[in-house]
Amino acid sequence: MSLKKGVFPCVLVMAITLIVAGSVQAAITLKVWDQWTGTLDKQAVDMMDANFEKMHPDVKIERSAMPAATIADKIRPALLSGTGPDVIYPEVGITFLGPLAKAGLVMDLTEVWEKRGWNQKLVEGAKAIPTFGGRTFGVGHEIEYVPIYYNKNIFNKLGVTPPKSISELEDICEKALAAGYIPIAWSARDWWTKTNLATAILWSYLGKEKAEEAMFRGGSWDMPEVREALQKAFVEWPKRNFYPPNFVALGYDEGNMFFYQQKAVMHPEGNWMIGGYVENVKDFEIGVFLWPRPKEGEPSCTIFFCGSGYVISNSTKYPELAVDYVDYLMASKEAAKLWYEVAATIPPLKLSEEDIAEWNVHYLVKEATKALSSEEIQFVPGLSMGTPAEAFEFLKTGVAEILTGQITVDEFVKEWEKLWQKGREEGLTYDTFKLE
Amino acid sequence: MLLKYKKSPNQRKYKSMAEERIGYLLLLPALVLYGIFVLYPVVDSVVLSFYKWDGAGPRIFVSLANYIQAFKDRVVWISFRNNVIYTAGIIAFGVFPGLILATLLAGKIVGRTVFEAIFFFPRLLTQVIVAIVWSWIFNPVFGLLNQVLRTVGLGFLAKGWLGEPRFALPAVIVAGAWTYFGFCMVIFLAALQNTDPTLYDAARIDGANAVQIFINVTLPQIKYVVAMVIVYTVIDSFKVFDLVYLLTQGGPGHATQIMATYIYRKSFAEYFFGYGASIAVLLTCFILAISVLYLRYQERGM
Repeated sequence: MSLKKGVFPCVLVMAITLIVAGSVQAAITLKVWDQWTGTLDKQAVDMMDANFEKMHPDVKIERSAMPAATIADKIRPALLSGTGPDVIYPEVGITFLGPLAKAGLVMDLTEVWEKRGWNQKLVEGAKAIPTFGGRTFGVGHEIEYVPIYYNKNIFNKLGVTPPKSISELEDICEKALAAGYIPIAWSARDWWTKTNLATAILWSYLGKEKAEEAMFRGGSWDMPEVREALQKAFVEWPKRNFYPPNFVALGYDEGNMFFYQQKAVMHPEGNWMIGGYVENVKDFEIGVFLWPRPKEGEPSCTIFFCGSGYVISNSTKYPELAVDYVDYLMASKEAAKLWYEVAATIPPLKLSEEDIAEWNVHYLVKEATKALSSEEIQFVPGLSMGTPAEAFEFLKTGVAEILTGQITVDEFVKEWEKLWQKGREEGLTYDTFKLE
Repeated sequence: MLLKYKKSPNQRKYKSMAEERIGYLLLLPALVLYGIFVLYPVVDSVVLSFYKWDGAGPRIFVSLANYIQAFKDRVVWISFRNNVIYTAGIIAFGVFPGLILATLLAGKIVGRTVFEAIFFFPRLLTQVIVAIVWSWIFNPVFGLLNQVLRTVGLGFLAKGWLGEPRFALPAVIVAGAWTYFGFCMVIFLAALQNTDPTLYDAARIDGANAVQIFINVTLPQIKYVVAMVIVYTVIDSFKVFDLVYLLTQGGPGHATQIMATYIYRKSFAEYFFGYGASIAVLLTCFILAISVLYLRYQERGM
C-alpha cells in the first residue's frame, strides 16, 4: 500500500474518533477545589464524585485537591478573574470567608439552606460558622472537636483514670514523667498546633459564656482566666517538661510520632486525627476524654470546629448544579456513609445512632459522634473560625514568643486585645461584620 | 556598461531609519513581556502601597498611612535587623570562605576542577531542596548535627536548632552560606585569573609571606570584584524568602522573620495587600540605594 493511500484512512479514523469522543464527552464540567489530599479522604470523595456523575451523566467533576493554605493563596485572584472554580472548599469562618462574602465573590446560600431543607437536616454549627451579617455563605463540614486522646495501656500501667480537673491532669503528667514517659505529645513548630492548644486551654479556663462573650459579643480578652490559661500551657508546663524535648522545633508529624510509638501518654488532638490513628496505631488501645476545667465539676468546654466547608462561586455558570453537588456531599445519607466509613470524618448530616450502628465505623469516630451530640458538653467554635486575620497571625507567632521567652503572657494579652479591637473597628468579627 | 550605483545621503538616512524600525520591532515582543510581567506589577505595587485592599473588595485610598504604619511597626524593624544579620552572616560565612577557597584553588592544585565542581554544587540545588536537607540536619530527633554531637560526646550541646530564638537565625545563615560560598569562589577564581603574575614575583622577592601577598597584592587587584560580590550578596540577602520560609516560616516568634517573609505574611495571611506593598516598596528603595552607591563607587574607581 502506498503512503498516500494509507494517509486517508488514518485521517478518517482520527476524525471519526474525535467526533465520537466529542459527542460522548460530558457537556458540563463542574470545577471543584478542595482539600482532600489524604489517602482515605481522597478515596471517599472520589467515590462520591463517581456516584454524582452517575446521577448526572452529562456532568464531569474536575476536582483539584490542595492544602487549605494553597486555596487561601489562590482563591481571591481566581474568583476575581471570574475563571475560578465553581465549588470551593476553604475555611468558612469569618476570618477567611468574610471578605469574600463582602466582595460578592461567593454565593449567598441563605435561601438555599431553607429550600434544600438543610436547616433541618444539618447540624447547627455547619450553618453558624459561615453565617455573618445575617446571611449564610457556605456549608460547614468535618464536624470536629478537640479532646485529649490517651494511651489506655499506659494509663492502666500508671494506675490513673481520665482527669476531672486541670490539677488532676497535672498529676497524671507528673506520674507519667516519673515512669519515663513524655506526658503530652505536642509540637510547636507548625502554627495550627499552637492555635489549637491555645484555644483548648483558653476554652477550658473561660467556659462557654466568657469565651463566646469575647469572641462573638465584643467582650474583652483581658481577663485573669486568659492569663492563667496561657501561663499554664505555655510557661509552666514546658518548664515542668510536660511536652517532648525540643518541642518548639518539632513538626506536627514528629510530635504525633511520640504518641504512636508509645513514648507519650496523651495527645491533645481533634477527631480529624482518627484517620491517622487508624493507619498508625496497632499495638495499643486509645481512649478519649474532654479537656478538664480548672475546678472539678464544671461542665467540659471544648473547641467545636467545622474544619472547612463548601462554598459556591458567585460567577459559576451552573449554580443549581453546584448546589446539587454540595447537597449530595453534605446532605445525602449515601455520601454520609462514605464520609464515616472511608474517610473517618464526621459530616454535618444529622443521623440517628441506629444509622451509624449499622455502618462499619471506627470506635473513635463513634465516640466522637456521641460526644458531639451530647448536651452536657459546652461547645465553642475555635479561634480560627472567628478571629480577625491579623490577630490570628499574632496568635501563631505570639504563642511561640511566649514559649521561647521573647514576650510575657501579659504582653501577649495586651497585644491580642489591641488586635481584636482593631478587627472590630474594621468590621472583621462576627459581632461587627456588615455586608455593604 | 556597468554603472556604479552610489547611494545618496538621503538613501543612507532612510536605510538607517528602516534598520532602526526593524530593531524596535524585534525588541517589541520582549518589551511587551517585560511590561506585563515586570513593569506593570512594579508600578501597580507602588500604587497599591497607597491603598488599603484585602484582595477581594474595593481598594481604599489611604495616602501615606501604610508607610507611616510600617515605620511604627516593631516587626518591620525586627525583620530589617534580621535581614542585616543574615546579610552579614552570608558575607562572613559565604563570601569570605569563597574568597579564601578561590585563592587556594588559584594555585597549582591537582584536581582543581573537581574541587570547583564540588564546592559549586550546592548552588545548583533549588532552595526547596536545600531547606529540606538542612531541616533534616537540624532536626532535634533524628538530625545529623545532634547525632554527631552525641557521638563525639558533646550531647549536652544538642538542641532544637530551629526552635530556639538564639540559634534559629544562625542556623538559617549556615544553610544560606552553604549554597553561596561556591558561587563566590567561582567569581573570585575568574577574577584571580586576570591578576598580574609579575606583582606576585616582585612581592616574593621582597620577602612577603602568603598573608602579606594576599592582603597587599591579591586583594587590591580584585577589590572591585569583591565589592561587586558583596553588593550582590546584600541585594540577594535582602530578597531571600524561600529558604527562610521553608526552614522556619520566620519563627520561632519573629526570631527569623525577615522583610520578605513579613511582606508575605501581611499580604497573603492577613490580607493587608496595600500594607505589604508598602513594605515591599521600602525594601526595593533600600536595595536600589545600595545598588546606586555601589555604581558610584565603581565609577569613581574606574
